[in-house]
Amino acid sequence: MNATGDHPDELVRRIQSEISSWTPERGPRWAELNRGVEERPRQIFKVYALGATALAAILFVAFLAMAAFNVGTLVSQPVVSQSQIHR
Amino acid sequence: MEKPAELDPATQFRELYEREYRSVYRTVRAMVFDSSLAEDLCQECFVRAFRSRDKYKPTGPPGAWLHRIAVNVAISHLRREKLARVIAPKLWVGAGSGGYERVEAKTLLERGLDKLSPKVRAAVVLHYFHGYTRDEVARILGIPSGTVASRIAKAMVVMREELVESEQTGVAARSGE
Repeated sequence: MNATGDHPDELVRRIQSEISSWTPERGPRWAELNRGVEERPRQIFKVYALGATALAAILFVAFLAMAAFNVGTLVSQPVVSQSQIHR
Repeated sequence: MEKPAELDPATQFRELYEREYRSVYRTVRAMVFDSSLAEDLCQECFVRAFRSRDKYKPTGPPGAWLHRIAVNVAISHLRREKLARVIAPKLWVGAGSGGYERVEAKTLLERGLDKLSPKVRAAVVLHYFHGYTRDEVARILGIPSGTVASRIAKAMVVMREELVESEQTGVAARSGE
């Protein structure tokens, strides 16, 4: 017996008795398992790879468009000469 | 009692499924505390196991292999759930709307297990309920054997304290009625 009055293995006994009372309601479902196997597994890495490729393509097209139309910071900046400043 | 013969996942998967379903369910249930969700995750575990049944290497019992998959499935689910709660707390809906009631309905043992991380919960159940050795639990969880021993010992202390505290609270509540 320990200080709390429990036998040292009381907790282990409790774990064993309570967990053995946990019974699944539905139980094994072979047909459902087969349907699950037939479904294509979700391949998250493919979604990420596709998303990353699409984003890269969008950024590249935007870069080309902005460069072609001189939009944004890709516009060639006018060079201000010293004489223009002092004028 | 004679130990049942080991089943080969590659050729006897259905028998293995029917034999091990309840055992795997109990491990998952101890990790997620929800019987319906545990059944769904258990089924997902067997779907994954079926897909990779040809990769099974008989270095340990097939039950241990299934438990390893089950623990990974449950941990992935709990991580996704945690992430969903962080990213969209208003949109997040847990398994069942009666979360509060479910917490209230927890047994003393579940309250004790709740004090542990999901992986340690799995270690406790695998060792003390399923009877796996510390080395087998270490292989299932993918952590060193020494770590399993220390975590299990610590977990038992935490659970014992929680049980004593809950029982004392229960006694005090009953005597106050």
